[in-house]
Amino acid sequence: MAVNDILDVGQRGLQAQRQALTTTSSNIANANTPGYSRQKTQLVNQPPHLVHGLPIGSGVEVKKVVRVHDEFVQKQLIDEKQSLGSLQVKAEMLSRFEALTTQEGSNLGDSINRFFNDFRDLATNVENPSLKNVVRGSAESLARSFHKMNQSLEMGRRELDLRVEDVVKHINTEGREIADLNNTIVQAESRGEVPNELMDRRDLLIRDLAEKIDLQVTEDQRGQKTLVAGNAVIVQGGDHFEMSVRRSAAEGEKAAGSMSVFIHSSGTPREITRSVKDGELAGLMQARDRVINPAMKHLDQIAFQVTQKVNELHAEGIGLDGIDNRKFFKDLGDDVEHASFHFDLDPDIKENHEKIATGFSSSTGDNRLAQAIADIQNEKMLPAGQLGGEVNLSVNESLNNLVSQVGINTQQETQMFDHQKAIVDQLENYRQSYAGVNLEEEAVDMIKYQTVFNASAKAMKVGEDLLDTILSLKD
Amino acid sequence: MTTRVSTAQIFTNAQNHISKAREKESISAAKAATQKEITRPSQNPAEWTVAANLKDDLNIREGIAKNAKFATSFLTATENTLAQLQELVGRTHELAVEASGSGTVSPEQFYHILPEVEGLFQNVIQAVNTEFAHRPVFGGYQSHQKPFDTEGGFSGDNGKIEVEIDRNLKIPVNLSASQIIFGEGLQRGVNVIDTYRGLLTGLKEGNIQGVRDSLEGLLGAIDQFSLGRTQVAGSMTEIQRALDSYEVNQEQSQKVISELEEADPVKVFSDLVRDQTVLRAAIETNRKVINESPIDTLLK
Repeated sequence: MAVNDILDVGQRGLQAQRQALTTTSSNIANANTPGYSRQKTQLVNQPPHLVHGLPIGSGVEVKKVVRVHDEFVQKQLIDEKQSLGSLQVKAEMLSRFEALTTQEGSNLGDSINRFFNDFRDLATNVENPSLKNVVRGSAESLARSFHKMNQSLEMGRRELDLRVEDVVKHINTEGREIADLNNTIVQAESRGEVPNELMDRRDLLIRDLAEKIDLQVTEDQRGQKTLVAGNAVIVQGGDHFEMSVRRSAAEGEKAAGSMSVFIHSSGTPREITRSVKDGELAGLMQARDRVINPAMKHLDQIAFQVTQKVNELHAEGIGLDGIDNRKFFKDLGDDVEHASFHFDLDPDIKENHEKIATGFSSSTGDNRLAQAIADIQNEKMLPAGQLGGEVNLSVNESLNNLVSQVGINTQQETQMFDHQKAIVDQLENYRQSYAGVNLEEEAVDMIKYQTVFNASAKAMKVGEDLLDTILSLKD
Repeated sequence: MTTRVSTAQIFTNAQNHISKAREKESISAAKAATQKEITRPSQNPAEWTVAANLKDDLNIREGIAKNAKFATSFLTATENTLAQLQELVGRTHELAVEASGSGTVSPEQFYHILPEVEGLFQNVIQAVNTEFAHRPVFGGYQSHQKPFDTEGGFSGDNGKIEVEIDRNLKIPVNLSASQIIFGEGLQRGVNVIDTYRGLLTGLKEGNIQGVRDSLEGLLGAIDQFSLGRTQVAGSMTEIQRALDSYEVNQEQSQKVISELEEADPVKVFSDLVRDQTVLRAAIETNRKVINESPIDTLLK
């Protein structure tokens, strides 16, 4: 064995330990990097060579740097995060929406009570001219409360649509990056490189994307990921198919003018709204279509019934000017939709409160009509459920039902979110436990590699000394 | 097998523990600050709905009770009017008895009694035109004018003014002039105005028989007003019962609302202390876990 071999072995030792130390310091540097999987340097001893029939070791080499990754956990996380994304956004949006509905509902409830109580006051004292003015004032306040609640619901709907638009943009950005990564990874692998960081990044993006839309992930032979979202391929190899949103007509639970989702895979965009079943995108659309839309319909129903009932009675009354068949509220015809938006006083009444009729005759003391209108508050005229059913609720009960229904939805979604979050946290915890960086471990590794690095340097020094000794023999 | 714990996990867990403890402490603090168990429907939708419906019911009842009190005032005014009418007719009856005393009253005395009876009649007209809050008590729906003219001509009607005194319970608060003043629909009903007219004619003409004929009518009028007062008393009793029931209902409803919505102060504050302790413990423990990492020692 030549002395040079000692130097070669030492050099390989130095190189291998240096590479291992690089991996360790990279692990340390990425300890807080989201989605990073720790890497391990696989060291193997070089095959020995025979010298005079004896096997002489030829040192160490780095076989590869592997990332610690559990594909099964990744798949589970993708599955569970879809539900988490949907539930999280629903819980978050409904919680905010609930606070708003409770406040606006309370204001509207107060306005309803004030309106009917003022009619009661008027019925008790029809001769007092100022009470008609009070009734007009409370009717205007009732109209404002209906409008305000309608606006709150409409704003909630618009906000959800804006979020739908944002999420689709986000899905496009991430989908594009995943498609690019698919290409880059294949190219790197074809060059014999091990693109661990790129794969980590791709896995992280896929997990993130899974929170946004229900995702099915498959891998082809070359290791490229194909992503199917909402029944449509959005990434295939290096190709990415854009998604878009646009307002469309009413369909099922969806109200007219709400955002629908389209995929541009070939030719004309294809609508995939109904195929999006999970993830943040589905959560947003479900909150919009299954909570806000029914609440809006419910509110419209209340506004419509109040208008119809009060108008029917008021038209039977005779004003002090002897005119009958006068509406109290603006006529809505048969259009229940947007009734809470259009709810308003009849222009005649708005202009002159003296035109409010209080009796079924033109006598100044006839209070029967005013009392009959006040009685509407007790009338069971609205269905118990948001989607209809038996008519057995008064106007106040129906409004309370609307608000409590939002509360029930919020409670359910929040409970389900808490449950789902616990599952995902557990999986994340497991992934972290398995693939995350442990600084103590890395510190020990660092000491370990440093020790061997130092020893290898020492071995080289010995080799050098030996060489020097041999060279000095010639002198 | 030992469980591997990554460094990020230590921080994530610390964050989760502190965040959960903070959330609980914040909920308890909110309850302590508001003294409310339920601040939003999702905390308990069923109980929230019951409380909301009860609050609406209380609000409606409050409006009804206010009107019931107004009705009481109206009825009191009617009752005072009837009492006054009884007095006036009673005095008229005394004078009529005096005037009808056979042979004891001279034509001069007739002329002396006449002005007082005329005055009493005008007082009766004034009384039957009594208004409460711009509404004549005997005018029916015709409240824009006095129901009786100075001659006793009636321009009111029999409109029944009903007022809601309890939920879904309405009672008429005015008495019908045709019944109380004109005796219509009553057994042995008396037309008070005609009785006065007959008496006045008798006195003016010195017709003792005419005066005597009015005596029975005057007594009947007093009975008729008594009947009116009985009706008023009946209505007032009914209103009082409704108001009593309102007070009981109000007390019970508020108790139920309070039970549903309000937090038990002892429990709230003990929960708050517990949650604050847990939060402090979570912060302290996690501070130690984070600080006592052997990394520094290893890399020294």
